[in-house]
Amino acid sequence: MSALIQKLAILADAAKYDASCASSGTTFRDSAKTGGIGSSGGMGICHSYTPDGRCISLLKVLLTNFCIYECSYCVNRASSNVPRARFSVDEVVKLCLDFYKRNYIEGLFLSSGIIQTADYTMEQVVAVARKLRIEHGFRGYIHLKTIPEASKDLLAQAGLYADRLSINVELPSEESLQKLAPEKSTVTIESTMGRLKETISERKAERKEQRKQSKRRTKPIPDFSPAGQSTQMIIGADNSNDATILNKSHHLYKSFDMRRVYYSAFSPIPDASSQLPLKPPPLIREHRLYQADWLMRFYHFKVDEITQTASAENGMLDLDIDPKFAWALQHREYFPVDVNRADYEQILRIPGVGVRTAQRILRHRRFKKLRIEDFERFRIPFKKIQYFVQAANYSPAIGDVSSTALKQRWLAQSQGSAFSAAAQKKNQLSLF
Amino acid sequence: MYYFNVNHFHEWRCCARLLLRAGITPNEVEWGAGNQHSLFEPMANSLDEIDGLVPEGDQAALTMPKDFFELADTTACYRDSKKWQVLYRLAWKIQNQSRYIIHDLTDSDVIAARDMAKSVHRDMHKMKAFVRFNNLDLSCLPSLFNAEEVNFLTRNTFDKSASDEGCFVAWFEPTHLIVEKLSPFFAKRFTGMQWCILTPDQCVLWNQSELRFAPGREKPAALDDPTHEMWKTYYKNIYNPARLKEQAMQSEMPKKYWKNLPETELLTELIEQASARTQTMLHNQPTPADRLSKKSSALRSSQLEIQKSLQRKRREISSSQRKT
Repeated sequence: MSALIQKLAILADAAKYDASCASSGTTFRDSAKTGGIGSSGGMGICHSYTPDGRCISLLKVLLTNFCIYECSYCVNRASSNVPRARFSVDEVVKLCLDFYKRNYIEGLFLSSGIIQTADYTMEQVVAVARKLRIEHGFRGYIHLKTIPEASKDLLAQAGLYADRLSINVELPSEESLQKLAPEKSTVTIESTMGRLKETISERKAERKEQRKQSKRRTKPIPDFSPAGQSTQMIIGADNSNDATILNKSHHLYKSFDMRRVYYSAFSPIPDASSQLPLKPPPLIREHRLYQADWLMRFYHFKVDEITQTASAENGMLDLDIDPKFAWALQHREYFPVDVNRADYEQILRIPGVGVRTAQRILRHRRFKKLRIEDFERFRIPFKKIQYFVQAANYSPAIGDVSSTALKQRWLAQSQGSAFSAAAQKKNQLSLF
Repeated sequence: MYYFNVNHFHEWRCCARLLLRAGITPNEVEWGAGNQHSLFEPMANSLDEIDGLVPEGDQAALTMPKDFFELADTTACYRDSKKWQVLYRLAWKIQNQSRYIIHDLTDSDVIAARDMAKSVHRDMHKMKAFVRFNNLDLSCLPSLFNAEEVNFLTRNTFDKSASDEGCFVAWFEPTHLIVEKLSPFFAKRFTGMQWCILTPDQCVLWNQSELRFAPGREKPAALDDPTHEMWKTYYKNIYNPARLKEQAMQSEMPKKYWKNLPETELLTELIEQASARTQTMLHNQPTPADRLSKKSSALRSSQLEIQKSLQRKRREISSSQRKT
């Protein structure tokens, strides 16, 4: 037991830099008819939270952290002197089931260092998923990291058993990848992503067709990675600016039907290479990139609109304010937006108004005209929207307030509330 | 003034239906739960008396919009009995004012009901997340359950071999009365297991084919499971000390749940160590890039050699096998 615990310690530690933890977006299924274990679909569930604010939704481990590659940013690279370990296929299966049955996790997230060859490693990874699905009837969530250099056949098998497949694009530019991860290549990564995209969408279309047509009991076409594919980019390990990163994300979403792009602030790793910056992870920058990512996906922003707000000198997003507010400050001519007449897209552009609030505004509008007091109930402070919104009983004052002044005011207010938040944080953690 | 004691949504529904038909306004009714006593002398609290007040010939069906039932069904799980009054006022408004009142977000009763439903939804989500099963041997069951309940649990019809793995028992303290509503979720997820969830309000048991409810009970003595150690090891190692964010963690995992989660014991220690671990990584001498790449190419060439010799051996073996 203690040898297994040691392995778990090493291989969980090795897996922490993979940001992905989602357990949602897959087909609805359960074990009511099979009598097995596991259900999934709908919203993911976070079973625990660690002090870094991240949730634990899946058992996230490496099959092994031995690796023949030499990617400078990776704690498991060949030349690193971290302690190494390797799980057997059965050990991972048992661990996953033991945790799942106790309701600690929603499923498994399995990655691996490359040992012997890409194909050999991929075979082992797929074997775990196959064992869980076929031998144990497991219907929980499985996320497999795929190795782009592995054979098509293995990739096809992986998709049969996994809910989501992912390949890390790692770095935003080709030259950084060449410099920091010489065994990886953009061409292989992107061609595998393309192949995954094709298979995923073809299979979805076939299944839809089958559902529409067949009324007899024909064997259903099996799913292929129903929760799609995702990827991860490391922020701050090279000198790419935010504009490059956002353009790369946009390319990934558009060309490969990517469900999520994760941005992982480069964290200092033990025994680091001197090619890498030795400073604390750029967390605010990562946060702004996620906000920009959300603007592209849910707020109908074009990538140019966001990159235009980035600083002209260095192409970096403003760290002090969120990108939507930054856009609003640069495009005052768009405002004020009349919330009783504007359409959904226009309402989404109002600083402080999120997707849920925009939907509530539209619902509310059907029954009553919106007044400025209603925003209080939507939990949007008046001070944030006063120059951007027009309601039934309110229109912004005609006197001009410059964008610079608005930004200063907003920062001053946020600092005020940040002080009180810091004061609250002083409270000791007490467990009872 | 009428006074009713209701404990469940369907009870409330029966009373409410009759009260609405009889045209009794919300101000004339007081709702309570369990053993509460009214402050007012009850004028009439028997359903038959109310029945007598229903105008003759009023057999028209009382219909409510589907949204109302969805909202009411969830709100009914809220712990405080003020919910019944709010729901009755809403039902009254639907019948006498506007059928679409549920969508008017400025109405105070709608706001109250929605807030309660939101609180219940959040509690259900947290219960799905924080219920933790402990694997106990079947011999421990009699100390937790009476004979009939033990019989029910061990009477598995689906899979005989599953009884070898014992029973999974969890203790949980939900904020609202959500056990019954959430049981089907657990039944569909953990179908092939015998499990039970114990709470102070109500307990639920599953024997791989049927659900059964039992009265609530007190927290059992520590439920031990050796897998706790594996879980705590995983928890300790999966987080990144360079990214400490206690507030984010606490906002999603409120302290009220901590006492029933094994990993929270580690929290103080992990947080204290976090900054030390990060500083070590920042202050360590970085390894020069070329030394690393030399080391790795040495490793690679030795790996390739091992592979080649393995292939040679395999060829030798297979050729000698063919000869024999």
